[in-house]
Amino acid sequence: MLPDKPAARSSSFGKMDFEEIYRGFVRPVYAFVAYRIDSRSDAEDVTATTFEKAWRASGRFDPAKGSVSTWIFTIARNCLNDHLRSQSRRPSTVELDEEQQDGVESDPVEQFQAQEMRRELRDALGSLSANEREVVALKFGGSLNNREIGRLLNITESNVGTILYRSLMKLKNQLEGGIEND
Amino acid sequence: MTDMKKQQELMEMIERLLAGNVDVARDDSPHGTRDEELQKLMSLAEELSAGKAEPTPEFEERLEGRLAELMAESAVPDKAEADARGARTASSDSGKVRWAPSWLTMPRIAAVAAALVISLGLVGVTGALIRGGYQGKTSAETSAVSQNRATENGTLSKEQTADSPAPQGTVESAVGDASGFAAPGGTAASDGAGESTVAPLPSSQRIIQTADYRIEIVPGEFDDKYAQISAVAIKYGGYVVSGDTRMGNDGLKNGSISIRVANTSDNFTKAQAEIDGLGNVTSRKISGQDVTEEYVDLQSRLRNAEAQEAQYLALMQRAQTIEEILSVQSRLAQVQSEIEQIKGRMKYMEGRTDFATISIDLRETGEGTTADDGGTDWGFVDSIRYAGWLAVQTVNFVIVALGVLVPLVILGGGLALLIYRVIQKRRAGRNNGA
Repeated sequence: MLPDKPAARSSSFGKMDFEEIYRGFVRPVYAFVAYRIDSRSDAEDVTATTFEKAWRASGRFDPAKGSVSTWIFTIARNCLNDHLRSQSRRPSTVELDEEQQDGVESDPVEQFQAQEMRRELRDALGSLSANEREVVALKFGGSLNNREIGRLLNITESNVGTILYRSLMKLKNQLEGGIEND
Repeated sequence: MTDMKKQQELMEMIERLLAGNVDVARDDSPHGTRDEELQKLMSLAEELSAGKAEPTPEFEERLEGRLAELMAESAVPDKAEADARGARTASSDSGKVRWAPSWLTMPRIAAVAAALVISLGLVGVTGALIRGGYQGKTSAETSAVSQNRATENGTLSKEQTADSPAPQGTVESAVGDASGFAAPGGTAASDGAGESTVAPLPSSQRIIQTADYRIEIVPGEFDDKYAQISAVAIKYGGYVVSGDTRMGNDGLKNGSISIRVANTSDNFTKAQAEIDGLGNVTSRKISGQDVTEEYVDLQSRLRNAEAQEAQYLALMQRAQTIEEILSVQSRLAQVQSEIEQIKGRMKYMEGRTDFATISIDLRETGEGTTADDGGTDWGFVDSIRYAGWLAVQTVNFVIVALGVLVPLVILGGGLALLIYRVIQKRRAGRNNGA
């Protein structure tokens, strides 16, 4: 009837809108994925799949149901879970390019220390439950706030806070334990 | 400090840290002295946030290329997806078909064949009836339709898109982008638009506003009202997004028009009031989605990032050694990319909220120039003629169907008989052998 009802129009993005979404979210999505997958090429694959799927599904996006960030991260989570499932069926391989690029520190000593810290952190992240890891990845990788994470995972905002606190405590204990063991 | 309180404090600190306005090394906890444990958790959080991976430029380039390709090949994602789904279902269905020879007994084959013939016959007869009905009516309608086409092509072809100027179209802002993303920042409110653009909404308020109208008007007023709506769009600093006009069989015009008005303080309300006065409003649906929270989040993150950028720029001035310059430069680049990201998201939101959308379905009601759709065509004689025509069509169809089916039935029956004979002979042979 109305060719231009707002719901109808906004539910199917034009190219321009999608480009904006891509520009705004490619880094957070990649960082989120990279928090869960160590191999860089795999993280790149999952990120690429996420945006391809998002483009294909953009016709079904309904802004009334949630924000763009929740939408895009829902797709990212699905792609990631698909990948992790397929990984669990494959024998695990250790990739050489495991270290993610940071490129912030220019001083070699500083760089080494930072790398060391990150390696320890990654090891410590392994001690978290899948749920906790996901919240940490969404928070610190995806740069989402607690409200957005809550909406995404279908839990309350304060619940997100509790999980984050617990995760940080676990990580801290793990790191201190590691130092003591050395 | 209790666990709950500590937890809360930590969460607040983390939020501020992620927003970039907290320095972990500095003690700025609300209590003056920060709990050592809290401090550790904070640095951990900072480490986690700073240690997040960034995609390489090569990867981004590759992905952008791939997406551009995708966008080019399927301009309408819904359809591509639907096609893909259709293909999947079809293939999975075909996989399910299994041949079960043990079921194939003579009586079953015969029964299936009979059912097939009967259903084919039924489908055929129904088809003939429907076709008959359609053809019976078409002759009456054709002239009316062609007449309408002629009028539509002539004076009435008023399909407007946002790219074409609005009827009054001298004001610059009347030309918009069909995607609805034109002119963010609320500045599109034209210079020559009279009393348009009042003070903008408080920057803290971001609302996606839409209104849907259905309005009935007196015959003959359509063009007038249509123009009035376009004028409303321009008056309130907006533009016509799309519109179309149709002429019904009854000579009454109807159509729809969608406009956007600058979403400043009471523009939306004023525009609505004007549209209310156009005619008999039979339905009105107004909705608003508040995205202020998300927008304010972004704003504060942007402020912080920009403050950081300024600091790094100042540091850059003071940097002496190459090492220092490189170090500051890389941090600066990180902050700047963050700023770009945030701005991108803000721009997206602004585009959605700077203009309110009003869609109006306008139709003329009342006495048309001709009576109702085909209502006078149905006389008694017509009905009898139509029934006679249908009877002939049915007989024709049966003759055609028989012509097709008889050879098939003979062929199939002969084959079945042959197989049946062979099986019986074999059985008899086996019995004799035993």
